[in-house]
Amino acid sequence: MASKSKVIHDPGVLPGYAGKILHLKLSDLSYEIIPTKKYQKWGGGNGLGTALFWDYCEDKTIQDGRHEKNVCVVASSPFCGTSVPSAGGRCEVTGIGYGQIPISWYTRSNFGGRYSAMMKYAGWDAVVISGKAPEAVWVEVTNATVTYHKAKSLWGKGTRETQLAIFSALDRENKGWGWEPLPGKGDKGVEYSTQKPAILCIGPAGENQTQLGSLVHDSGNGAGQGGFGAVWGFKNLKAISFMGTGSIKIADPMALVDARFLQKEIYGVNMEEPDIHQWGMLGRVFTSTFVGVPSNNRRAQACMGCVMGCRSRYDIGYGNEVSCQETSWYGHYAGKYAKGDEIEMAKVTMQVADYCNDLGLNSYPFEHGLDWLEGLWHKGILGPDKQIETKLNFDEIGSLEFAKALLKIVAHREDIGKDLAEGFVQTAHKWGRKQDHDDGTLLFPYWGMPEHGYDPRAEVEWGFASIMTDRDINSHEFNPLFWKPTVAIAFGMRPRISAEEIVHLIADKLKPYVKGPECLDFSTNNIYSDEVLNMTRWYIHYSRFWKNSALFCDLRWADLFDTNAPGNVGATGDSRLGEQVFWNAVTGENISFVDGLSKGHRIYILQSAIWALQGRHRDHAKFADYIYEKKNENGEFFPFYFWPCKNEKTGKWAYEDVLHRHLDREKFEEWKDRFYKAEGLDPKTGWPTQTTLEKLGLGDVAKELDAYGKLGKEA
Amino acid sequence: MKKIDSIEAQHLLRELPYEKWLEIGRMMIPKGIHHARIASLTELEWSIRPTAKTLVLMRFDNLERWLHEAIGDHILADTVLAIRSRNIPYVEQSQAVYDAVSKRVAILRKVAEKEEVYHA
Repeated sequence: MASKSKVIHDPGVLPGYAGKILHLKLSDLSYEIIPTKKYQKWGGGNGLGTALFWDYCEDKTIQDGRHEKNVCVVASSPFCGTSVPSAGGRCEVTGIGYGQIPISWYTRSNFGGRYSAMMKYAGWDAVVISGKAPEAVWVEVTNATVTYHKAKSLWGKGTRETQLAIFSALDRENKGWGWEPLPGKGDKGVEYSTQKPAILCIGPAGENQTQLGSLVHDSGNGAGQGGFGAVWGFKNLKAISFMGTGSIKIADPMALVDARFLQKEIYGVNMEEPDIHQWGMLGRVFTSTFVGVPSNNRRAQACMGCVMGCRSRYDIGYGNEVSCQETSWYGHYAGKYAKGDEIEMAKVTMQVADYCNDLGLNSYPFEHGLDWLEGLWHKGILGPDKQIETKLNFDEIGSLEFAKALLKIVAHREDIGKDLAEGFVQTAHKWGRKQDHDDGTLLFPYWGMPEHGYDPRAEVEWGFASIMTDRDINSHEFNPLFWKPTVAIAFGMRPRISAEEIVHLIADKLKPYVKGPECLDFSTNNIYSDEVLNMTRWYIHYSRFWKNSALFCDLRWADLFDTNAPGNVGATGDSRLGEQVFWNAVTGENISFVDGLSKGHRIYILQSAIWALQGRHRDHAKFADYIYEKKNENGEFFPFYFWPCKNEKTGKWAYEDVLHRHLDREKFEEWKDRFYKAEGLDPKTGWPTQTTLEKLGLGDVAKELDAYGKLGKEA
Repeated sequence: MKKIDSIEAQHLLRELPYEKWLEIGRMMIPKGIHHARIASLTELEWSIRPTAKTLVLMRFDNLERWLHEAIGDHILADTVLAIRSRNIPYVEQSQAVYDAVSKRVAILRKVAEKEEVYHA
């Protein structure tokens, strides 16, 4: 298919940016170029995507991302493709998702690898995807050349085969991979490249528009939450390939190099003698394969620019770079089936993870979802000739064949997969089992999404930030406060940093949002306090800008404390090597760390405006009933869940077990009143007010909200 | 010393009905807490095997009760009680419980296969 527009290549003149944004208009298979300059103030990633969505989505009232008017943005940041440590390879996806309840919110997801870097090397900061293609297509972008291709032959293929097919299609001289002629020879003075294109694509799960449909890039990089695979499937978009031979202008290369080296000097891991008891995010040794693999011989596999390399290529060949939750969710079942044979368990678990990626499936919901299904099977509710009919044989659970059958029926909407493809909570409702969600049998605490592994009744900041945004927040800023003391106490060691010291270290990083360390008092009588509220605001603003927009990796930043550094002081916000130092070195701007948080606030307010137009009201921001009504009796198996708590009487800090509690519905509603006020939102509705919007330079947004009767009332 | 016969050993190694399964977990960084349900002693053995990357999560009082009430292995239950009474860190207790379960399962397997074994 011929492209209808011509591109004039405009090399990036903004340091850190490529300079152009590609708008793919799928409905008529054309495209346009948007200058990045107009959106520079939004940073990148999430902020950039949200601003573009606001401008290019013609109907923000839609409640299901599978809609022709929905706009999906895949965005880089100034860091992508640069050597900013653990920030060069992330890529942000935004748009109205599919599968959340009660409404599929405007939401986000994120993945790693080399896609965002290659996008920028090709000359683009982001790609805006609007409309719906008249037939299945994939898009080739090679430097300035944009070409739509028919994707009929790719439709139905897994993500691996799809990418291989596109690699082959771009191997125009049929030489196998080597010196490939670039379209429009002479572009940028380069005629040939040995670069391999970076491809983002969907598998059958996305094509069939399942809620669990992911976007997948290379091996093991997936944007899972939000159902963006389904959004692409609806749009008839199979893949977008980028190949670029350009580079990124850095405003102050020496400042970048200096900060990077200083960071290495202070926070870097001594690989000869790694400190396995290190506390902190930045200076830790970490691999993200969770099932016990029968080999330690691994080649670290990293996203572009990352200094950690948390993914692995093992000499035994299992797994194909899969990582994190996907390497654990099936592990216990596989172990059960293999009767404890560790090698077989690892092999099956890693193969299943790879199969998820190939189908383009988000594995997270299966963790608690499969547990629920297994219970229904054993209770005689689910099975052949049972109340809920299925051909799946749960007596084979744990086998590779069972997992493949389960994943396949969901990806292809067959058998009970027809229902599960809409989401596990939605399925429970359809099957007349709402009580399973209400009572926590189905552990999906917010927005119909699975519990991450952190129970909001204990780890309140994770829960509060998730319910005040749009999804499982999946941002690990404060988790080390749980991991480190809990593990130390389990081993009988004195926590390396005392509760008293750590809350002061972190509170210093959170200023001026918080007054002092009480923001980290996880005692039941303090979790609804103003200080915890302020900590939650910091958390949302930090993640919205520094993590989701600047695209620092979630597994390295924020670094709120760190035993590698003198005084255990973390790198976050540090005047020599904090987030803002890298930002300013790359972009040439001169912002402070707190300026970044303010940008995060602005992004959050714009998103609140979108949610308001979608029909959101503060009453939607509620956890599943079990979070309010049942104590966290998972403590029956989990012995302790340590967080810092301040003794009201003595004023002394200690790590204390915060299990065995539930949230208080009334207190949380009152907490929400104060949260909305603090954010500049109407506490009655959760909608942005005119004053807030104007203060943030979003007067046009106020006008649109007003036109829809969705402008919040002033206090 | 009480003799145990193969029928009893097979009984102790049986798979329990679903409603009697024991819930345990593992902590994985950064994923968080992963749940698992245990249907039998043999499954318990490999499920609580210590690993370098994860922390086994179980409450020993619940385990002891499960061994008494669901499995019916009072000897192993008493061993767990003795371990949890020791003033040692949780991880050492977990290791000791794993060792005890492992040893017990090995004995029960032998007996179930008609080898003559006495309780220690």
